[in-house]
Amino acid sequence: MIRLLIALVCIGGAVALRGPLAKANALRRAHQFRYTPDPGLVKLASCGHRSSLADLLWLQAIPDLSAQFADLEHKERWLAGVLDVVTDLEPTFVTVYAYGSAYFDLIKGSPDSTIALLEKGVDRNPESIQLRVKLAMALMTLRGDRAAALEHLEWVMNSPDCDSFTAGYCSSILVDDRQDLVALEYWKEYLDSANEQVVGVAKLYLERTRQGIFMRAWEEFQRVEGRRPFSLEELRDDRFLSPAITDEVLACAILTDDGRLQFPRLVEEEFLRVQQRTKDWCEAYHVEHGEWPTLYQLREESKIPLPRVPEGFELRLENGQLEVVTEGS
Amino acid sequence: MRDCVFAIAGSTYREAVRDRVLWVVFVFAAGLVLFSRVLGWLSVEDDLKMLQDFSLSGLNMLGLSLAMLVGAFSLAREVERRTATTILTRDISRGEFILGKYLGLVGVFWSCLIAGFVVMMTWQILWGGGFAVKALAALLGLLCESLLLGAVALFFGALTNAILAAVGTVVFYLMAHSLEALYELTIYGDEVRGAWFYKMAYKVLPNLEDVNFINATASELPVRWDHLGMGALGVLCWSIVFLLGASALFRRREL
Repeated sequence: MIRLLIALVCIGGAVALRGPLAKANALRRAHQFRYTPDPGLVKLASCGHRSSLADLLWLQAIPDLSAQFADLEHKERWLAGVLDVVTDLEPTFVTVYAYGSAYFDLIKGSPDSTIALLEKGVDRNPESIQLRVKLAMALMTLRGDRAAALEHLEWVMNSPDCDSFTAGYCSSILVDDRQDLVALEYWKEYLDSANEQVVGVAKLYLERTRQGIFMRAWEEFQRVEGRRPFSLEELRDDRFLSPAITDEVLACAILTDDGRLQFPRLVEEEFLRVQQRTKDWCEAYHVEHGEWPTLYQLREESKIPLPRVPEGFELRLENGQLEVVTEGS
Repeated sequence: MRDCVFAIAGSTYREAVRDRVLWVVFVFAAGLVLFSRVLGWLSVEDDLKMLQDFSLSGLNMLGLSLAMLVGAFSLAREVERRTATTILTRDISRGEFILGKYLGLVGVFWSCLIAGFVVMMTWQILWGGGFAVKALAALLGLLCESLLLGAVALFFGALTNAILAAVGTVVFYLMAHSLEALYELTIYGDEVRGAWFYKMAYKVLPNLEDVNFINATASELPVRWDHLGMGALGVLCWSIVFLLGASALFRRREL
């Protein structure tokens, strides 16, 4: 009987506590309570499951990156803390550096935190191309530190896994920095490659670099002289182009009689690149569907940006081969 | 080694396999492996990494649960049922009895861990992941860990009752996995009170992080096989120490 009474009293007590506890919980929900752990203690508490604990904390942080918090300061403190802890628990968790830096940059608008997190990532993952490129971009755009950005990009360019986008970005910085010769030489090195695709990409980017140098010289001429150049030869001047590259750069452009600039070699290289990508995509399509795609399917289903063709011409796709032909032929 | 040791090992293995607890623990671990895919879906890019992380952590917990629920209770059950008394009336020493039990338990632990690993790899391959040799390092580390946990469970089983032995095994697990972090606190952190103790403990106590290759497997860290080899050797040495201790304690125990 006494036992039953004790049990009933306990149940009653627990139910009575429910009210104040519910209020306390509501208060915590309103304040969006988050526990920000200390990195050292988390390592201790992880008992060897560092990766899994880092994963769990990261999963908890992902929705908070873009969530609205009533207390913004609290959100920032929590996310700064959790990003620090996760990267301490698992220093090779590249995704966390990448997304964390995007949060600091795009949402919080804190360039220093962005760069600090990426620097931590590169320091602990010196072989990560992704982090180096992101750090270089952050250094360039947020701090305007060309030298530091180039240092990382040049490291990436020396890596066999460097992608053409990064190399293009690097050469554009070099061009902006008036290191034209280096930017051009970088792409020329690949012209002797045994891999045809590499040669194709290098030719395209070489032309893009030449165009970039040309346009910079063109704009500088306009700024200095206060007018457009009447002929390309007017750019043959040390103030705008280094003598070592003048011929090569001027040869990439044509100034038409009506004063329009054209870059025929670049257009040609870009078309060749589109042709190559189209061929690869069509072959994959053929393997999958057993038939060659039509031009309509290419436009709708592939993400390849097809070039505009001049009036009187049209694009034709036959057995994966993309060509420009005269209309109606 | 005498045949009777293998006979005891065989009967321990068969008895453990018949135990429902083992199957419950195994199904729980396999469930965790399968569930890890859900966590992968919640992540942004690292779905396979999460699958591997949580699966390997699940296998690690499987090793601990087996040591705690099967290993620590194994000796007590023999004593309680008086089967130990019957066996020891024959031409077999108590040390041999402990060794036989240990080999049987290790056989059970290893079978479960390897089966769990096969489930994990099949699951991973089904979701588009490949088989990485690095994952083998994690498995070998788990097998080494279970070698030591088995010996510790028997040691505590010989020292005290089954419940306390299970608790002791868990405490040992927590301690042996925390030594590395405690040591790290003393070398990278601020001034830590009692740092000298942590440093000394790091040198003289068994460290299960020596054979923990879960983090290296799932992340991009390289696996140092020589480190794994040294860690395995260290674990083997400690296992022998705990087995000798278990044998000594069991010799003094009144049955």
